[in-house]
Amino acid sequence: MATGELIYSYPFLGVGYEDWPNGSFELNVVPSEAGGQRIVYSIGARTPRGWVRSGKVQVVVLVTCPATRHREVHVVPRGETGFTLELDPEVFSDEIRLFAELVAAKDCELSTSTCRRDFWRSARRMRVVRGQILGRTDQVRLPLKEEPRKRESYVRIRQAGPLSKYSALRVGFEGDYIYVLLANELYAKYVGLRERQAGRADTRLRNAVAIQLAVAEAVARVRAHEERRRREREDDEPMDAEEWAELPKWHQIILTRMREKSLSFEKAGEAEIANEALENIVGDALSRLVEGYDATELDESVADEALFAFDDEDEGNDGRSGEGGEA
Amino acid sequence: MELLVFTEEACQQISSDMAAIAQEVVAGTFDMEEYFGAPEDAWTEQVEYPITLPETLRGRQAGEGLAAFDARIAREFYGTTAALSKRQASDGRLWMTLALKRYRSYVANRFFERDMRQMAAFGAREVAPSSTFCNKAKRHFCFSGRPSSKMFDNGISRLWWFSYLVRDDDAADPLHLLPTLLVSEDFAARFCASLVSWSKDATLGILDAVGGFLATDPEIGSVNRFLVKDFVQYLNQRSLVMRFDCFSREEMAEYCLRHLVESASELGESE
Repeated sequence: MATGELIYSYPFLGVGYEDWPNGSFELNVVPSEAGGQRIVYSIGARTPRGWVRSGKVQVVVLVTCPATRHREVHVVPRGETGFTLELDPEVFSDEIRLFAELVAAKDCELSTSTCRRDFWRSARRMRVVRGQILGRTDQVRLPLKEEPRKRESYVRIRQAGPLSKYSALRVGFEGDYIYVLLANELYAKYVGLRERQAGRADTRLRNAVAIQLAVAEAVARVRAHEERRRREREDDEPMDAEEWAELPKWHQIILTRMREKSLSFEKAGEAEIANEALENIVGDALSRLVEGYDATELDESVADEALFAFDDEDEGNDGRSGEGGEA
Repeated sequence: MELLVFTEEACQQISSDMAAIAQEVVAGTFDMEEYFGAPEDAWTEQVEYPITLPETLRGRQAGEGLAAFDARIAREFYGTTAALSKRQASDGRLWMTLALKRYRSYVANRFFERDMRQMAAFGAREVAPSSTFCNKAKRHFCFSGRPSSKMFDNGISRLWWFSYLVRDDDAADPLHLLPTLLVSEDFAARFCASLVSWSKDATLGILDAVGGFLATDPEIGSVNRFLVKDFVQYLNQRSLVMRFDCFSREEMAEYCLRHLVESASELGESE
């Protein structure tokens, strides 16, 4: 199945344009016959094609894969408005990053008539050489194919019955999962939000706040467990494999994150540990929104992490009835 | 060849427990079956790789410096494993299995020589592992850290990736730039972690320039190394405004050499 993505504009430095407008670049990713992926890339009519045609600047598309340290630079042929990239499955992992740049050609000359004034001020101080980046689009992450072993989310959102004064949002634990239990009205709002604003950063942020509360509750449980364990065992032996395997998955993940980030219960509170365990997603998202970043820019890297993924557990429920879910 | 490698879950478990098992791993007393509490089938899986593996990796020869030792072993290892694809070579299961099983003693001797001497003198149980020791064990035996630079930390994967990075298919000896990359550990680590090193032509051009620069005046080798360290920082900064992928290898070498020579003369004047 083809997946479509749009590269959003990013205010770039010069060549006479204030912005690279939305829709300047479009791409589609489709599976190729050779087993890899093919990216069909096109440049919209509002990009500075005059500049590209004149040869002063070149549009290049940079494709990178952090996992395999692979990068490819593709130069869009002059006068062309699109091209196709074939991605070799041997050198790319399951996720790539892609963005377009305007790069100065070898003999590019910049002048005040062709550049924005603020760019020109710095341009005068530098020699424009081949490869000078004049502007770039925002970076886009593309999942290339289905993960062979898709990571499962251990935090799930579930409907929890009628609203009461004390139970608009509660946290439940069952086996390997942490459940965020939303009262019917809240759950209906959540479903509505999710439908209207699918994939939008503010929805993710609201979810993240709810999930942070749930994870903070989980951290409190881990703390209680650790304290009990310490009381029961005077020798302070590290956990053996058997004991580890018996812990619920969410418990293991929190302990692993705490070890990785050198966090301890002595030095940090539950909310702080939860936030760190979630890669500081809530704090980052808030500060970025406050600073006026484009909400679509919210870093999705943490979505790779099992604890963080926003899985809903609708169980066939649209959130508008008073039935279903757990109390 | 078919290899029994750790499952992903086993890799995760070992990585998170490394602080607790580091001493045993380094000392060679770590019993995997006991640790996992299950037979080997439960925590390994069979994977086919287009390579053969050297039976052992020989230790350091008398009087051999670390850089020369690394270059020799990397060359030896890459000789039989060059056919791995980048995708296969970024799979931590292979590297953790090799570092913890087949080549464990090589990794221990290469990175923990002093710790092992201490453990032998006082007894492994008597020496409490420091956090530095545990972190080092995690870096060199596991495959964790930043996605784009962790391959240079694992004791075995770094051999493959160093060689892959410098491979010059146009030269009679494709790995002739290995000694330049490994001229100092700092330079290698900084350079490999930089984004510039992702680009093949840029990498070869940079190493051409560094090699040429270091060869000009062996008398000021230590000064040059200092410059080489700063030089990577300079390249990183420049890469924010310049797309080095658009440079040919020769253009890159010329660009870098000019900067190195200018920096050296500025340093000479200030002294």
